[in-house]
Amino acid sequence: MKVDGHMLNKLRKPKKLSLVFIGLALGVSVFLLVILLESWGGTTQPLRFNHKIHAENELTCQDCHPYFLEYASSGRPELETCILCHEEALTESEEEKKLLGYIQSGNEIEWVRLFRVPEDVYFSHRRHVAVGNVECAVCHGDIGESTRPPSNPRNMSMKKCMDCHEDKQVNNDCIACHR
Amino acid sequence: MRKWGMVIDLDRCAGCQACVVACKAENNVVHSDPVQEETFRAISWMSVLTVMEGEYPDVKERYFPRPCMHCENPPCVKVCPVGATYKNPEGIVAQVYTRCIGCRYCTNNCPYTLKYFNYFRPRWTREMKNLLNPDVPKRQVGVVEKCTFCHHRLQKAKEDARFEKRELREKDYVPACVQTCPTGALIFGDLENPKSEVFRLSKISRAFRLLEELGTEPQVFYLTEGEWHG
Repeated sequence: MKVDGHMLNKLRKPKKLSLVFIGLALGVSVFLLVILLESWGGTTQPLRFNHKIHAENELTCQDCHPYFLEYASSGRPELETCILCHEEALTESEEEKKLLGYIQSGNEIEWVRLFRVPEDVYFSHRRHVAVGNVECAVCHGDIGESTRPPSNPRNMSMKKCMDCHEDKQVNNDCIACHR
Repeated sequence: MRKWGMVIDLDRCAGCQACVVACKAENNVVHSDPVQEETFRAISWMSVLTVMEGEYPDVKERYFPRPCMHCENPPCVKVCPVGATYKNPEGIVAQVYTRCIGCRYCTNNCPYTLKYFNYFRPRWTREMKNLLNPDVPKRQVGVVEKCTFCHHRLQKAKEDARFEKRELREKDYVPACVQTCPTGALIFGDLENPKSEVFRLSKISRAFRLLEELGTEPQVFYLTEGEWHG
């Protein structure tokens, strides 16, 4: 039988449509799965630290990250710092119970570094905060408002660094940051 | 703007190789084995060449320390297709390792053969792993590396100066080789500053530069009495 082009088109159409539907369904399910995984926790940290609640209790960034004005690294809180307030349970929270467990055992909490730059990049907090007067939120966003740790560590992008350097008319030479 | 440069007094150099060791330790330069040395694949940003003068038994051995020349007109920069090596405003010929694609044009175009390609994956002994300098990244296999005048020290010195709200002093920044040299044969500083020691020494009659006829205008000056027969 001779098949003309018109007929072929007719035959093809439903096939194409079904492919699109399958693709869509797959996409949606993957999206839902990602959301589900995120809400299950999927957190990077050993315990779900709530930045917001600490900020509301009038703690500043520097109380737990003490070194950003003097050193390259800002520092992550040590148990000694936590004990200052959490000698006894302050709330009913499960996460606080975990913290009390750490305090009892005396093992430091192994906080995961959330904001990362590549190994060959020299980034100094002192240079940016103490010398350049950059606010924490410029790079760290609304982490201070977050109620639980983000699910993934965040890699800082070179574009963001360079745009900011251009805006502020500071050194944009490659080896000012790349060593 | 500053222009960093070095003066090497060949009459003072005792050939102790302290600069070579200091450079390797400071910059996490991988240790090479004799096979790599024989096949010209060893890496040593600072090397001391030995030159024999005269006939036995009347011989004189002279030493020739050789860091990157940080040319004013660098031939390596002209051939880099990706901009991984460039002349920085302060006179340092910089190498951005993460940008380098390992084509080796620059190693071939350097008349002083002072750029080094990583032919092998860098391997460190267990003891050495804990002694690596955290201020300098480890290079990957397949990229070119070179002497940077320890510019990570400049980064820190500048930051310290700004934190203390003062100008950067010349003595705040010296490369590891210069700091180590026990005979004071290596002198480092700002070639644009008329008050600096390197400015004065680079102008005296004992001063010469390597392969000057090429027009690369190295920022490393050598000093020697009389003619150099290297």
